[in-house]
Amino acid sequence: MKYLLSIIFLLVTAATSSGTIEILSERYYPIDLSLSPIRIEGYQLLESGGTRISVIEGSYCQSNSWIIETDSLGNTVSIDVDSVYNLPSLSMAEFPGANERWMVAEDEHGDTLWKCPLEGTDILYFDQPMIIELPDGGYLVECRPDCQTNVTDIQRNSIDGEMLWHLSLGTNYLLDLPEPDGEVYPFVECMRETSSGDLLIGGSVSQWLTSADACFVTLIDGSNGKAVWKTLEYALGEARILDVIETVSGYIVAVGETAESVSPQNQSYCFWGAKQPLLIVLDDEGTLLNLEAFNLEKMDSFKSIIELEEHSTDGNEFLIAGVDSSTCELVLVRVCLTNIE
Amino acid sequence: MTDHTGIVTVRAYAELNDFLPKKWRQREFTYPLNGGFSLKHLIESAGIPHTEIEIILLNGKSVDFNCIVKPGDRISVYPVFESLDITPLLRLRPEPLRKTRFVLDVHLGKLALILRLLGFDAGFPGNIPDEELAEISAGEGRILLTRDTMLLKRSIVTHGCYLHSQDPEEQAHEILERLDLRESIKPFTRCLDCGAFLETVDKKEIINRLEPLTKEYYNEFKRCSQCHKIYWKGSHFESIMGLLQRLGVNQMGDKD
Repeated sequence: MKYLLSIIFLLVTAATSSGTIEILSERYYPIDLSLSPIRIEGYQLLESGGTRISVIEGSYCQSNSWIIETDSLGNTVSIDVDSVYNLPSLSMAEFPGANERWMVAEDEHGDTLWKCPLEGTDILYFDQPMIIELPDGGYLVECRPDCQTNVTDIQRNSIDGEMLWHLSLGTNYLLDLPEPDGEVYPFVECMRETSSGDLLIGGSVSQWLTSADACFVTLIDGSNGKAVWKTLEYALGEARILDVIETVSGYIVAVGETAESVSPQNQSYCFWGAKQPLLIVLDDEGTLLNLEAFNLEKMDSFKSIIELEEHSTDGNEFLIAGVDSSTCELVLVRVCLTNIE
Repeated sequence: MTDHTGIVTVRAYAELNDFLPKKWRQREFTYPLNGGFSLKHLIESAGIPHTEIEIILLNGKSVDFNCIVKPGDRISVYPVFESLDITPLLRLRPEPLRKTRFVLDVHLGKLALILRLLGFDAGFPGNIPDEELAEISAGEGRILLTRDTMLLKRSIVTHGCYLHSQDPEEQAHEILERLDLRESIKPFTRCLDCGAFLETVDKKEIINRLEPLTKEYYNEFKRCSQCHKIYWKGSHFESIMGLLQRLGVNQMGDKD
């Protein structure tokens, strides 16, 4: 289904306070977003000088995807629903006599290709894990608990469903807490593979059910599932990472949202204040190089980021996806990072 | 004897597609039938909890969950209608509860706080098994809020809401919209800790429990009728008002 080009176009050039992160443009697209997460899946320069951008909302099992084509001036030429669905189709299942949940892969006829148990899911777990398909055809699966536990289970599978390793990512590790403190598991919001095969994982974590959320990024050794380093930030008071990437030059850029932490007097309860988009830059050892919260009129969160091939003379350019907070439509923001050291 | 082996054709509408595998979303799909299943069983097997469904049309006729499906049947499943008049059709979900009360799953601690801040009775029993949570919902007439579709598929649960968002503030928006609760909001009337009602208390009665600066600068206090926690309009009051405004609450303050 095609949408005609009737796009609101707004160009904003708003240098941030540090001068190292510059928003080059915001463009709005008439795509209603109802699921989360949102991910920019692909970006391609066309011979015409235009671009083709692929955006996905939802999880591996339940998702919508669109292809946006622009001309050389950045104006939208077309928006198509991407009707191709990935094979195999993955779903979760419980089998009589088995304690764990299982991941089942089926072909287009519904025949089972393979199935494997999900490590650690013998306690209560949601039936909607996060599944990321990796370049080698394997999968990274995150299972979100439905009980008070301070670990989230992450499992690396091969292309034919064999478990290669399993990691219990703990709140205690992320917050440097002694065992057994911490009643809430880390909320993993994004998982990406680096050029060397390691894994970047981002999300939010808090010690108690109602205490302030910190955002985190952690690097996991892709060969054995061991955590290599972690970075934790509260930004304006509460924060959450929604996507994280490794840049061509080896830096790590993460996006998400942050807000003032609002806590009634004499209480340990924290509410999020008004959200703002967040961008942080780390070096390859997880050291924080830059953190910026943006005050944008129509966006309160950066959902996904990719690095663009074309660079300006001053720095690296990135495309960030967000949502217009008043219309729930897709917004793509082009950002330039300069002088990151 | 009726043969119940074959296929049926199913189509889910609007946000009900969120519960389906991608290959079945926004289109008709065929579903295998291996026995005499009820509509509730068949639709929940496909992934949609019964609490999310408002109307089912079986071969164009409005039917209830107990209807037995036959091979060749065509099934259309609809969520809650916001503006369409569905008077001639059979509404599947029970009548609304007389009092709007909630019980929240363990992963919704922050939503529980927001609902209490808005003045709703929001039970949050913490880390208890799904079975007990479902029993509380049914036994106490509380709307079960969760992101766990398996929990909502339990037959005992008659009033439940699946929350699409993972963000507590967006979840509160979902609840207020879906249940049309904006007129029922009474902010600052319940204790955030235990959920009981707050009552106005004379400063003299609690002065020994106040910090020096609080004693000096504040004169109006409320106290929880159950746990006796004290509340006043402290430095974060404006920020909490901001949260209420984002939730579309127009009338602020001490509505008792």
